[in-house]
Amino acid sequence: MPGVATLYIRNVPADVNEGLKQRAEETGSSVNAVVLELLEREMGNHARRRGWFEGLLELRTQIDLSTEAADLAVAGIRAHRDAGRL
Amino acid sequence: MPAASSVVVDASVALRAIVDENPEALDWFRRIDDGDVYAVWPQLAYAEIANGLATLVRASRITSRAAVAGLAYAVASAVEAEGLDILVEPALAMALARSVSAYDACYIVLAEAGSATLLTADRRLAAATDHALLLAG
Repeated sequence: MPGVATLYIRNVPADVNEGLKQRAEETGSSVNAVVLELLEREMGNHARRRGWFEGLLELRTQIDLSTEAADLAVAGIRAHRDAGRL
Repeated sequence: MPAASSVVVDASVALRAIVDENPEALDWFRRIDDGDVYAVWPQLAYAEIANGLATLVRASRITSRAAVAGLAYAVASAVEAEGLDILVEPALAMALARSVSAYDACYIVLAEAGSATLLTADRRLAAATDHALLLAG
C-alpha cells in the first residue's frame, strides 16, 4: 500500500511488550494499533515542539525582560499558595 | 540532592524563563527541550503560570498577547504533566504532615517520590524539601 511502511522492532523489553499487550486488551485493539497510535502521538508532539525553544527566544524579544517583573509573578504564585495554608 | 538528570519544574521557573532578563531558567528549558534533562510538573503548573502571567498583564508589565503566547509555550513544552488525580491524595497527606499548602505539596511529592530535583525560583517551596534547587532571581 503506498504511503505506508512496515517496521520490525527488535529487542523490545519484556515489560514493555506486556504493557502493550495489556493496553491492546483494555482498548479492544491490536498491539500493532497501540504501537501505531503511540508512534503517531509522539511524532505529533515532536513536530509541535520543533522550533519551540527558538519560538520562546523570539517571544522574549517582544517582552521588556525584567527580573523585577519575574519576581512579581513569582510572588503572585506564592501568595496564592500561602492562601492554601490558612 | 540527586543529580539533575530528572527534574520537577515549578511554575515559577517557567515564568522566569518567559520574562526574566536573567537566563538561568531559560537555560534549563533549553536543556529540557534538547532532551538532556527529563522534566515533569503537576498539571497545577499550567494554572499557576496563567496566574503569574495574568498578574503581569494587570501590572502592565506584559501585554495580554504576550501572556497568551507565554502560556502556549508552557503548555507545548517538553515538560510532562502529571495528573492531579494521581497527586492530590499524597499531596494532602504531605500538606497535613509538613504544614505546607497542597499546592506546594504537589511539587514536593513529585520530586521526592521520583528522586528528582525540584527546580524552583520560589524560596518558600525550596525551603520545604531538601530535593530543591533554588534558581537565582
